[in-house]
Formats: sequence, C-alpha cells, structure tokens
Amino acid sequence: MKKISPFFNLALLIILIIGCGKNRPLPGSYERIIGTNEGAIADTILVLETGSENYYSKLMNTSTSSELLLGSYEQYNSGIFLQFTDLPDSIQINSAELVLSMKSRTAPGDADSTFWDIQRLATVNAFLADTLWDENSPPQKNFDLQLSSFTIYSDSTNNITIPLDSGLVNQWIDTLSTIHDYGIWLECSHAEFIQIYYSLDTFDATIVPKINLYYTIIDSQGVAIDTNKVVYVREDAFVLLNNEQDLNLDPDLFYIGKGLAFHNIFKFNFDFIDTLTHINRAFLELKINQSYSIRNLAGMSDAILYRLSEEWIEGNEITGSSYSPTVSDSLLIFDITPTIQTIIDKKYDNFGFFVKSTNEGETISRIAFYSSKSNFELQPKLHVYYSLPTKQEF
Amino acid sequence: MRKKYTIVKFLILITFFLFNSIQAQSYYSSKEFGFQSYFPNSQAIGMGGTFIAIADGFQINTLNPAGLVSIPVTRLAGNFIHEAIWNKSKNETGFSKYTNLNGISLAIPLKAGKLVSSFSISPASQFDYEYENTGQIDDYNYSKKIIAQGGLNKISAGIGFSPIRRVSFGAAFNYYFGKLEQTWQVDYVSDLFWDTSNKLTRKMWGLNFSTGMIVNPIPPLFLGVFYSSNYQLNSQDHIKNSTTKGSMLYTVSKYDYDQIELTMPKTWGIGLSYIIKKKFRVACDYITEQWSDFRINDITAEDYQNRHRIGVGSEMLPSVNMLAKYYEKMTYRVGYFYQRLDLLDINGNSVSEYGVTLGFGLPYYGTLGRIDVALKYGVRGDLSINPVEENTFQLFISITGGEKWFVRRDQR
Repeated sequence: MKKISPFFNLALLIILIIGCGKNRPLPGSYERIIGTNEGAIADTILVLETGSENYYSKLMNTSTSSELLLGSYEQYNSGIFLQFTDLPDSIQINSAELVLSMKSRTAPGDADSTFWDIQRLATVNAFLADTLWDENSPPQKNFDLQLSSFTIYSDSTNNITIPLDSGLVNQWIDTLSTIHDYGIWLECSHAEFIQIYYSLDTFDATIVPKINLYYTIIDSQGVAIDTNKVVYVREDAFVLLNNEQDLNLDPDLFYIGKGLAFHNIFKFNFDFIDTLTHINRAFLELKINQSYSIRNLAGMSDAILYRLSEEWIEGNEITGSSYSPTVSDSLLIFDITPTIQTIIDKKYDNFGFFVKSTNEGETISRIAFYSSKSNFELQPKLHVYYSLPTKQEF
Repeated sequence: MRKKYTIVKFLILITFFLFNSIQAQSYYSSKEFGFQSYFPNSQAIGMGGTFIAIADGFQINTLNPAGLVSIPVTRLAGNFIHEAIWNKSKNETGFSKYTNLNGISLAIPLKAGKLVSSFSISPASQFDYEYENTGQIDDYNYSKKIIAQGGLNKISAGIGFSPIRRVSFGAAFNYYFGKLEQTWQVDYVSDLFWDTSNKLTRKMWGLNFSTGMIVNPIPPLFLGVFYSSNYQLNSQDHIKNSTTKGSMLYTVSKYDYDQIELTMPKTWGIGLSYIIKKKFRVACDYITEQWSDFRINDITAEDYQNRHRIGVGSEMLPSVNMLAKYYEKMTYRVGYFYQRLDLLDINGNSVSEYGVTLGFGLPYYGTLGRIDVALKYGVRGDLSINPVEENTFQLFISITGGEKWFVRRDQR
C-alpha cells in the first residue's frame, strides 16, 4: 500500500486541481438545445371590445349597515327608517324624543378644511311610516303622520335629540289606534351635507337609535310620579331616495358604488393564446375618473373582482375566485394571474369578470372608471406576461 | 501518522465524489439518450478503450463475458470517474466538471478457468446538464433554463465458460432501466411574477442479452468478438407543467403520454490482442452500434447514424518476479481511440471524437488486488463543422479486490 501512495496522491491532486474549477456553462448552449423560437417570453395588453361591458345598478337593502346616513351628498339623498320594539301601550305619554348618536359627517368638498367652518342647516322631517319596510318602495311623506320637523346643524358633534309630537306618539303606541306600528321615517331635504349616525349594528345600547318616552304614573296612594322609558330600535336602515337616472351618470364610464350599487361584467378574449401557455403575470388595470366619483374616492380598495363561474344573471349569488386590488394613484390593479391561467388552460370557461364594491350596503360612495369607450391610455387593460411552451421531448 | 494521512486523503476523495457529482455539461449529452459509455473499467480505458479480446485476471468484462473465464478468484470492482470538459463555440468558452461512481461489478469463479459468473451495475448513458439564457421584458429580468439529469443504467448478470482449451464463450442478460428528467423553466427576478416549470420525466426499461467469444489460436494471440442484441426499450413519459410563486404551486397540466417502444440498436464488435514476449500486450477493437435501425413504435427514426468506434492500445505487463521492484510490478498503458457518434448536430452534421489515453495498474496485497488509473484526453466535435467543440479530460479509477471463495479445482 505504501508503494501506491505517490500515485494516490497524484490522482488526488489532479482531481482537486481540475475538480475545483468553477462550472461555466458554454454560452449559447440553451439556444442550441431549445432553439430561439421555442419557449419564447412575451407580453400583451388586452382591451375590451368597445362598449362590451354590461352593468346593473341596484339600491341596496341597507338594514345591516353600521351607519345611518341622513342628508344629501351631490345627487344622493338619504333617509332613515327605524322600527322599535316593546312600545308600551297602556301609558299616556307626556313627551317623547328620538335620540341619534353622531358618528361622522360628510359633504361634497369636505376635503377642503374650510367647508365645515361655515355652519350649514338642514331640516329633518320625521314621520310615522305609512308602510312596512321595503327597500323598493320606501315610506312616503304623509304630513298627517308628521312627528317632528327639526333643524340639524353641520357642526353638530354630539347626539341629536329630536322632539316628537306626543299626541301622535300616543296614537302610535295605542294598539287600538288606526295608526300602524310600521316605524319612523326620517328624511331631510335640501341638505348640503350628510350626517352619519350609529346604527343597531354597533350593538352598543348607549349609541344605537332610541326613543325616550316620558310619562306619569299614579301610585297606589294616588300620587302622580313622572317617569320615563327608553325604547331601542329593533331594525334600522338608511334608504337612498335616488335611482340611477337621478345621478346623471356619464354612460361612457362604468362605476362601482355603495348605497346605489353597480355590478359590472366584462369579458376579454383569450382565444389567441395557446392553451399550453404559462401565465407568468396577469393584472387588470382600471383607471379612475375622479370627477365622476364621489366621497373623495374613499373606499377605493373596497373594490372586488370576481371571475364568473357561470353566465351572469343579476341577482344570482356570485361564485368564483375573488381578488382585491392594490391602489396606485388613480389606478386600481388586480393581480389575477392564477385566474387567467385557469381560463387559458381551459380549466374554467371564460364567463368574464364581475367587479363591484364590497359591503355595498354599508354607506354611500361611488367610484367611476374609464370604460372601453375611452381612449387606449384610459380604458381597462389586462396586461399578460406569458411563456410559450417548448416541445417537450429529448 | 501515515495511516492517519491516508484516511484524511481518502475522506477528501469520498467527499469530493459525494458533493461534486453535478452537471457534466457536455453539450452533446443533451441529444438522444445522453452520452453513452461502453465499459467503465480503467484498464480498458487506459488502452484506448480496448477490451473485446482482453483476457485479464483483473478485468470483469461484462460486455464480452467470454473474458470472465480468466478471473481466478472472486473479484469485486468499483469504478469512479472524474471528468472535466472545456467546451467552446465559435465565440465563447465554457467549463464543467463531473465526478461520480461509475459502476460496481462482481465476478465469482465457479470453476477456475472454466466457469465464472458476474454481476454488475453500471451507467449506460448519462444525461446531465443545465443551460441558461437571460433576458428582459418591460424592465423585468428573467432567466430561461433547461435542466436535465438522470441516465440509463444497466444491470448485467453474465457467465463465461470455456468448454475447450483456448476457446471461451460468454453470455449475459442485461436489464436497462433509468429515469431522465428534463425541466424547462422561466424564473423571474421580480416576485410579482409566477415562474414557469415544464418537467418531463421519462422512465425507461428493457432487457437484452449479449454474447461473446474469445479464441486463443496461438499462445500470444487472442481474438474476440461480442454481440449485443437489439432490444425493446419501453419508455413512459410523464409531463407536469406548472407555475410557482413562493410556496404556491399551480399545476397547469399533468398527464402521461402513451408508453412507447423504442427498438434499440444492436451492438457488435471485434478485437484482437497480442502479447509480445510476455512483456507487452497490444490490442485493437472495433465496435459499431447500428443506430440506423433505431425505431420508435416500429417506425424508423431519422437523424441517427451508425456509431463506429476504433481503439488501439498497448500495455507493459507487470513483472511476475516476486522480488521485482514495485514499479516493475506495475502496468503501464497507452492508447488511442476514434469514434463517430450516433448523434447529429443541429445542422445535421456528424460528430466525431478522438483522443489518447494513459493508464497505470497498481497492484496491492500481492497479486490479489489492483488499482487501475486511466487518464483520457479527448476532443469531441470539430468547430469547423460542428457548433461546439469539447476538450475532455477524464480520470478513471477502478479498484479491484480479490478473494478466494468456493473455487473447485479441476481434478485431472
């Protein structure tokens, strides 16, 4: 074995000298094996066929809102519907007041800090509702059932207390009366702002809408005692008194909104992309038109995009993958790489995309987007980066 | 202390083999079935790859099993390879290295000089490379890669026997199996992108037999021939195309192709060796693989040509004098080879390889064991006609041990 040692050392030396060299693949070998056309990397920008978007508008049932909006914001006019439970029916009301707790306020141009420096007024009319709650036919003003006419101020920050007509309240709570217990309807005309109150959804007795009833009872000794009872709201909602036509929307734009919701469907054509293509990145870019948007674009990131899994019929439940956007200046960008891949490789049919606001009944807002009728720079664009397949063979 | 150094050196070598077995990077291994090797024994490689008519007591000849008859004791051999490739195109150069175990074989004489069996496992072809191409799209950098690894292995069970004096025959069954994986991928630097991965996994298996004969018409002359039958290699491809982003994986498609039957070509060769004054051995081999017969699902495939190889070599035989110095007991070898490969380059031109070899045989434990070392320098391709020329340097080490097992002496 001793005799072998020099040769062993030599072999080890050769291996170490040559073997420790760093691999440097021969440039150009990739092309020699794969070729220059196979497996190409490419990108494309897809746009919609002009005017191919469909949209639906819908007034939302806002009974689950955490906010109650009263007043006007541009063309939007919102009232409040309140229903109460446990109304006492065997007492004589001396006085009654409706208490709403202020959450915030909003108005067109309120981004300008001076807007609120000027005190603005609005008149709130409260009526006993003439109909049950129905989002499609809100109560009508019936001055025979008017409970109150009250002024609210734009600089109010505390609770507002609205005195109610005690005579009418006594009729309302009397079960033998011809007046139905449908609830109270508040509306406000010609306001320049909206006041936002806490709703039942806050589950906080100190701030939910309530009525304080003041009345007198006679005790067993015949002594009159003044007392009161608090009646809490059982159901509440803000109700927009508008429809799409009231809003004078630009038909060359499309919208998402809350309060008045908009559901938009659009479909890109992917037929020219090979089904074996790998999608490396796909993102949908929607450009915002600020002048037709309201509430200073609040809630831009509340937009949500769905891949439709069937032909859309308004009213159906939306199924399919959903995507939230990232916001960059006036762009909403939805990264939808996986969903485009599933459409390209035919795992799912292309029924198009559906975009709307999340929590559409929460408040009012509207974001306008440039549509396929706009010029190329502005219209919705789907950017797709993809790699073409190679021949899979040795 | 010396023993400690030897152990350290051995550990360095083993570590090197274990952690350096990546990417042979031969451009020509990217074609067909990868780069094929015939016979991993370092003695044969040191003599220009000649083995057909070599009857040597240390060589477990699984390609021409007639040569097994010369093995006097039970032998176990392990073969190793280290390879360095300098490749160049018209404008660029590259370098790669590869180190790995190159086969194990066992020979058991059942009747000394008459009947010897053998078992071996060795690589039949190698498929191992990674090439990259970088680019940019809209300011996003990406790299496209083609990565392949795997190979075809061969398990042989053979027997050599000598029914009459000076004539020996041999036969072996060979089972081929292996897995080749080729992955094409696109990797983006930006994490906004999903990366592409197309993976083709090919499993192959097949069985053939080989047979051979060595005759010794006059004492110094040996003539040999071997034939390895054409055979059906079953091939099953599985495709998995996916995209990945971080830990997320999306399977674009996953499917199996129908199993295909590859009719692999027969191989045959003839050789001679001549021993001069019991001091030198010279040998010459010719081998051909009939790739023009290669068929896929019984349809003759194009773009193949027959492979031809010729090798010549010589070795200075060791002294049998027990009192000779160690260097006199060593074997010294030299050889030359030329072959036209079965693959065609991308322009349809033939690719040739030629080179020279050197070798040493280092005995240990008397005559029971031997370490064979072979150095091979070759040139593969020719830049004047092929897109790539490769200069290869290969170091082969075969360690052969021996021990007498249940040998039955011929009683006369």
